Amino acid sequence: MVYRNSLRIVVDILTIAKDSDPEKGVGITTLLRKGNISYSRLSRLLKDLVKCGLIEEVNAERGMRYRISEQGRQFLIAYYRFEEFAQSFGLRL
Amino acid sequence: MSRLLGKEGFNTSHLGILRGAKALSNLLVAEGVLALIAAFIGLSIGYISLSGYRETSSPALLRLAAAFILLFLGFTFEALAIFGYVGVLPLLALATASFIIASSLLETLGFFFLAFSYILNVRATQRTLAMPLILPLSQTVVQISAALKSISFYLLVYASVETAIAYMKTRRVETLVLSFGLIFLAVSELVRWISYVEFSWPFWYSVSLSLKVIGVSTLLAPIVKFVSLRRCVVRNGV
Repeated sequence: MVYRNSLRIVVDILTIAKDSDPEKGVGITTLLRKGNISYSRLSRLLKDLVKCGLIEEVNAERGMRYRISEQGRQFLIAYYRFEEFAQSFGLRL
Repeated sequence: MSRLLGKEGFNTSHLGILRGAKALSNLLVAEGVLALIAAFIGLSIGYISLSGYRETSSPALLRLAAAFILLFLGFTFEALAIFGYVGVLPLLALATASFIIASSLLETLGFFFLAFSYILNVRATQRTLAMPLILPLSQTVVQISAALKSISFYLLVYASVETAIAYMKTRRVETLVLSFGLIFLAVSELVRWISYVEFSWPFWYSVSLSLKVIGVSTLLAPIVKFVSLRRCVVRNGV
């Protein structure tokens, strides 16, 4: 069994946000379900991601939703590029 | 007559020694050039890893960057030591001994960081593989260098085995190429030791250099893959 590190969890959350509706974003329930992460940890993570500018908060009728920012997209591009590089050495990021 | 034969005999042996010295000098220059190429490849991998660490904050990339920047410095010192010894750079001749020890130390540290990356990547039971390292105490430059090189050999074998195990999981061609490359570098060091004790040392030394060329060139595989992916990912998005 391979455990996810914190970087991998961030990437998973960003990927879920990227694959969702680019205008409306994604709700916290979907992030919890698809991200396979606890509510408290996700709340803290989302706060940090918004602070860093990787994710944007969108006010919706039924609560807060989240969508990936341009900076978040750039981060994902960089991550996948360097993940390939590290895997060439047989390493995980 | 006997005096003449004696003179001819002396001339022949003298010529043989001169030829041998020239062959050694040529091989050393070739090794110096190879060390410079290896330093450049090390610097490239170190730079890519460091820029990756800056963008993703991944500790694995930081360890990789540390390993290859140390290897870059080690190979650079090795090239300087060789060029100083051979006389290509006479100014460095006095510092040759310091360069030899510095290069061996930096290369060993570089290979240690490379192996350390794998140690953190694998199960705890495999960690014992890297433990029984015994540093022999010695006085002379050659002995210190040889001791450090032997540790490098051990670390190279470990890293290549771990890369081969990683290949079994990921089935990436470049991982397999890199594993073979590290094996070639390790065997190159082994053959070098043989060249120190064998009479037919030019043959063994040449074999060692050839293996090192193959080993160093395989380190290009991740760089090539990274550059090709960079264009592809940027063109197609994530």
